[in-house]
Amino acid sequence: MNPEELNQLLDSVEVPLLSITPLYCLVTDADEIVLTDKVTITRFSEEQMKFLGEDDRFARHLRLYTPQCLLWERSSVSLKQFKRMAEGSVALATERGIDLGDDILRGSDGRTSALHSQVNQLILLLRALQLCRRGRLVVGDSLFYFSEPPSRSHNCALYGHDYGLSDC
Amino acid sequence: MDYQIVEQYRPHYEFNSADVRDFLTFYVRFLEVSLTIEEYPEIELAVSRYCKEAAQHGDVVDLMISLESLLVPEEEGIAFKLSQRVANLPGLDANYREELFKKVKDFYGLRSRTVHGATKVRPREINLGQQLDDLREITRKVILSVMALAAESGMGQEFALLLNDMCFDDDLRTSLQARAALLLRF
Repeated sequence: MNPEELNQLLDSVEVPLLSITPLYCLVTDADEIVLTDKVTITRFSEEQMKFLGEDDRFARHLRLYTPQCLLWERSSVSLKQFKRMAEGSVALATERGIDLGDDILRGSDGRTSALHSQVNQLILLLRALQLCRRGRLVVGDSLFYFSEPPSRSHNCALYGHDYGLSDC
Repeated sequence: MDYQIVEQYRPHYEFNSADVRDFLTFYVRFLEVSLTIEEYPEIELAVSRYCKEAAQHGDVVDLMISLESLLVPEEEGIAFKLSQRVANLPGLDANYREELFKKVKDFYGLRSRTVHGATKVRPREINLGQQLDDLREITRKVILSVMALAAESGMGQEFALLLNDMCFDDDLRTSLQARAALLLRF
């Protein structure tokens, strides 16, 4: 495969991206609310988290601090974006001398993650939910989950509502 | 975010299946407005402080910073100017304006004492939880009002002048309130 073909491939293949955000203090009349074809709010159940595996840190966190609901947003990034993000993570891990299995704190770096646009999109949606009506909607850290191709998951956290990307 | 504290929060925000249509209408307008006001860091600060307070319930300072950043660019006479401008922006009648003025002035006092480390609270501040809920709602309305106005005509020096003039000109106040209500109709 020549470089041009490789670039075309990287541009044409989309990697599915799922973000899951726990919502606290929320009261609703439905088990599932469909906001758009890509965004839903579901009442929390541990069953929903099984696909992550028993030992997944995010799933364990939700078992410990159970939210009322989860916000699910389905989108995708190009394979090129995905590759850039993976390379960025490896470079940062190498620079800091940490294992890739560990957390990589990026918020304090002031660097722009390849996930930036997806994170901002989610932030605007969450802010709209918080501002559209009276009351306090508490939003927990979000998980960003990449599925095939290629098959792997990747955790990201948004802390508080400064929405700084802290853990990628 | 402190997850141990969030477990103690009571249900506080209601969103039902019948609310989807209104939310989507709001969301589209919110996105349109957000795109046009990216150049105003004061709005970003106000929204992030509002959302931070939501996650860490009980911090009057965050909500007051949110209001100050939107409405008082000046460095003097903040308590009075802030109370007056908050009262006039969402206050549709004289009684409500007076109520808003008193509440914001009280909260400004509480904010100052909190910032300066005072521990004693006055009797009026005992039901702080309920009052914070009120202040959060006032802040939400002000944020959405300023977002709508800034998207329409910017936030330069003229904005501060308008905020002053609307205190004395009923027609101007009514007109500004109508324009500011773009995101408040849901």
